[in-house]
Amino acid sequence: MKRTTFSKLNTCTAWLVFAIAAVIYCLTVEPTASLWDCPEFIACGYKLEIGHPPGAPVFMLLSNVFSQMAGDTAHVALMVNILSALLSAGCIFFLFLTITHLVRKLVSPAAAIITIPQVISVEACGVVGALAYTFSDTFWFSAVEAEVYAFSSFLTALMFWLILKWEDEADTPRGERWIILIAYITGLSIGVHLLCLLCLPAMSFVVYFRMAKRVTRMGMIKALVAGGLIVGGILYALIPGVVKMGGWFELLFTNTLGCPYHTGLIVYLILLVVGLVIAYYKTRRKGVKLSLACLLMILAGYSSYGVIFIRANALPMMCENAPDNIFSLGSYLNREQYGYTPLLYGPAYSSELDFETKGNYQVVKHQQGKPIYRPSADSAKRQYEVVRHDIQYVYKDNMYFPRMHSVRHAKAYEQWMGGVRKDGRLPTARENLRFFLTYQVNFMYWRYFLWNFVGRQNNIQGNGEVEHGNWITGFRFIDDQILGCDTSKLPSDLANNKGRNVFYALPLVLGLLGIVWQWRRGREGRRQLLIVMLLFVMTGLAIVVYLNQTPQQPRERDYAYAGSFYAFAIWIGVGTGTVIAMMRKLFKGRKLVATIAGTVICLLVPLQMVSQTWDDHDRSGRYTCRDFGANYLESMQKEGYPIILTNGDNDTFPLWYNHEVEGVRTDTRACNLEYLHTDWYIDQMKRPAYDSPPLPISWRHDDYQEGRREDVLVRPELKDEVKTFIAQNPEEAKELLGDQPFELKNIIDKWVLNDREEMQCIPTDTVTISSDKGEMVISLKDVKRLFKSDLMVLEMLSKADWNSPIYMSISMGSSILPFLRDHLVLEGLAYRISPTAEGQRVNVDRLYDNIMHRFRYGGLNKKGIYVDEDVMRMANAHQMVMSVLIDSLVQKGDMERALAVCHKWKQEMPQENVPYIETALSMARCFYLTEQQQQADEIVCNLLLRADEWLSWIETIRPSRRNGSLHSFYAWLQNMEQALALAQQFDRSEILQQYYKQYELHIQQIQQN
Amino acid sequence: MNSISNKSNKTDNLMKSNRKHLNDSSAPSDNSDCRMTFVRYTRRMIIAAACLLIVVGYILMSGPGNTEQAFNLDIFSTTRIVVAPMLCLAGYLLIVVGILWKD
Repeated sequence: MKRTTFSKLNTCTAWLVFAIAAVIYCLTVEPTASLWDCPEFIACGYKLEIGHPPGAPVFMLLSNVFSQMAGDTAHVALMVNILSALLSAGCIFFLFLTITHLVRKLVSPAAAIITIPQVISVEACGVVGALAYTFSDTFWFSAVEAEVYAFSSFLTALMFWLILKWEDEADTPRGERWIILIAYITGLSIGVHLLCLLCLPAMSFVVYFRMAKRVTRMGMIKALVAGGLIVGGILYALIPGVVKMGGWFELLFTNTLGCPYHTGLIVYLILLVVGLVIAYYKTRRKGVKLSLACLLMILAGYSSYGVIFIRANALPMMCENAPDNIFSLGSYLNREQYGYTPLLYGPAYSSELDFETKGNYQVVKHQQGKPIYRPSADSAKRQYEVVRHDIQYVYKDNMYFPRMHSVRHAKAYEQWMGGVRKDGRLPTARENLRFFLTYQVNFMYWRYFLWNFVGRQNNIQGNGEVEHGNWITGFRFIDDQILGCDTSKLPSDLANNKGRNVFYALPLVLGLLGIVWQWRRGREGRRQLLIVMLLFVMTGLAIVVYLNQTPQQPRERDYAYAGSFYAFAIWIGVGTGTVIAMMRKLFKGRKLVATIAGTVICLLVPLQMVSQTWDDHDRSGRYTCRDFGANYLESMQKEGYPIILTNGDNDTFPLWYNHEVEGVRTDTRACNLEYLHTDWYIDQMKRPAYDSPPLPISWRHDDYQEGRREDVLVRPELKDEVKTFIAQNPEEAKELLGDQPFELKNIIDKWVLNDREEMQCIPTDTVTISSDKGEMVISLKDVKRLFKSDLMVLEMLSKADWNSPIYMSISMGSSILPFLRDHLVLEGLAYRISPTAEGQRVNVDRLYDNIMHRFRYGGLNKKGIYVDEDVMRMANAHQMVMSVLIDSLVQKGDMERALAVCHKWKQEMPQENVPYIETALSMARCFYLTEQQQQADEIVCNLLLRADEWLSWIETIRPSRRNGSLHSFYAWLQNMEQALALAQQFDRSEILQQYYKQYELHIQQIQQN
Repeated sequence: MNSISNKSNKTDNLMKSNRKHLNDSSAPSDNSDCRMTFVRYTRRMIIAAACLLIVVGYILMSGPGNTEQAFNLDIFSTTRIVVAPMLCLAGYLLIVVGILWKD
């Protein structure tokens, strides 16, 4: 076959693989927003608002254009998800072309004619590798939701393929074009996700091998260093540097010359571009010309941040960090919100701060860093002011390569390590290394790798325990050893978990064969091996080192390493070539037959993969994120423009999505407590949004500016002093402290907002809010300090005058706003803060109306729907609220309505999709009380059976590994006990006969060990 | 003025010689020089047009924002969140076309 015909055939096959991937991803795509960051990205794309740093402006633009294709607001999310699906299919397209390019060079290097068996061989390699990646766990997960990772995988694949294209045409004048295009895509990728930069070192090797007259070890090292310098240069010099220089111009033009804001920025940009273009045309040297062209193209791509800058100036409802001036944009880009992790040298979690004496106080030693400028809060002035300096604390003891660095995670580190022996204050170098290897490298990287190519235990997030999130092979005798338990006795919950995927290590074997084959195919093969290996390491282990992850992550982080799995998929493709070569040896002489045999064998691998991964990636028909977000909003009453306080990602972003995209309950406001301590967010809360008026906050920007009143002490000892002062000087006291000194309004106005720092505290441990509804007493006992977010909540309560109801989402832990816990009324998925409630009450009528009529359940009753861990948790939250309602109705004797709720539960969340947990016992009790023994027995037996399965299985775990599972053991033991107690209460002797003995056995077991 | 007319004469001559050389394959360099110039000219124009599209897109995207007093519905006007991003995206894609422009 001629080379040109082969090219055409290759392209056709590439499009075929693209079509397969596109169809499969579009079929399994989620029809609405998904949990975590997706609702935020969709809302930001649709209405061009500003999401969390570093934003993704290019993704915003593309998803905006795609979302216009939706017929109505309900389909906007679907269109953005389809965008992800198509970009992922595009990544598969380029993966295919990359694999066939590399394999063709190994199989038929220079010949103009390529034989038919060779053609089949090359194409088979491409198809097997591409489809194996299509059906792999991590990539498919990101392909069906609206996240930036699909786009970033696409750009990585594109860039890698482009350098191979360049390699073919390096000698022609057109060859340069590819380099310039790569530079442009690099610039664009800054506006998607910085992961794409990580393929540059591998690409620098391609350039080196192609251009070097003689390949030497020194040359390779230099190429590696050059690649690293480019990545480092873009990350640490270009991205922050461009913005920093803009800052200098802004200070010059606005502060010194008195021009309007942003004049300096515009002048700077014009000078920068014009200067570079002039330099480009003036220079004669080819190398410099190419470099300048590349730099211009990177800047052109980087200019996409103009979207963020311009839209931030429109002050939309979602405007994180408000990057509306060059300085805020700088901290937005540098992701300063997330703090700083030390890499090479720095403090460990147990390092102590160094103190020094300053006057009468002991102050933390710190180095004053660069000044932070912001536009003056006083709108009359037009100036940038220094609001504070960047502070670097100095620690008494630092270490090299600190892997356990975060103070907040001190307990988590020690829990993982099983106790840490510290030499002095710091963990020893050996312990440091052990944490790095066992947690960061093994647990947070190799485990994900093995999920994709060997097998995955289930879709529940793990933290080292035997029952959750480990990797398995599918071979019982191996898995029993790896996990240290008897896998044949798995409880049905785990055995039937859709996230359980076993590949019998076939993809891993194929990939390893590919590595071996490349190694043994001479110089070209070894060079390819080096290049792909560099890609694999940079997008895998290098990220592990850079991130310096802490334990107890909120979710599994496998999506970050999709690039290294891409590299391994290349090897899987190459491995197909190995199998075909082995077949040839077997079928001596009959090349065509051997090739076809090898192809068929290898095609079975991706086919086996999809048979396992389809069920836990098919998200069709699932509307839970949208519906549950709407449920939070519908929990609130219709009058009074209510406000709901939330606190994480999954109880905030779905609400924002419902507000921004679907226009649900735009009379309400969602207020995230995690942001409420920042001045830009408080600014946003003070602005109206759709139908929702500004939140009742009367503070001025100066009062809550960054650095001021970050926290205030609660000082109950001052109570008596204040009382004596009032007794002695009543007139003066009235003027200074207000007529009700311990009224919340006065405490905030006279004490917290006082200009004098020593007055900025709470001089009591009980504050009152008086209104026509009565007097609400808030106890601050055991509260040592109030943070700015707490103060804002109190401010809202004091100023709202109970006209705007304020709700708290049920997802908040009890450590958040603990002083309000005695004043809550449950009305849905949120508690209303009530002036008259004592303890925690239930508003039965409102709760009933919400659960029965206003809530939606996202299709959880569809047969076969995929319920992952996060959706399950939210469904369980609904069930918890339902069980509280049933119990309240039963207590009141309202059996009719209680039964209605039970039926609603079974109808909307059947146990096949959402298995019972202990909350279902409320339903069982209701059934017993209404003489529906059979239905009740079904629930009780279900719980007892599953508890028995769980406990029996946990008992097969080796004692050395059983510690992590004790939590599950006790939870199920308690479930069993509660179920048995219920059965006893209603004289269910059969059930007791069946299960009570087992229960006693399990108790014995745990007491023995 | 003179220099401009001189230049246009030169271009005329080049194009005339180009037409002559279309039949004469022994002088390809003149041919490709002229086409390369034309191509580079087109390429620059495409990239310049792309940059103009991007700038126009950004200008259309800007405007007054939300304030504490009133919710400004204009921040979600069709011009600002439908037309403007399309122009910007078109500009960013056109740059790719410009870089890859074939002769």
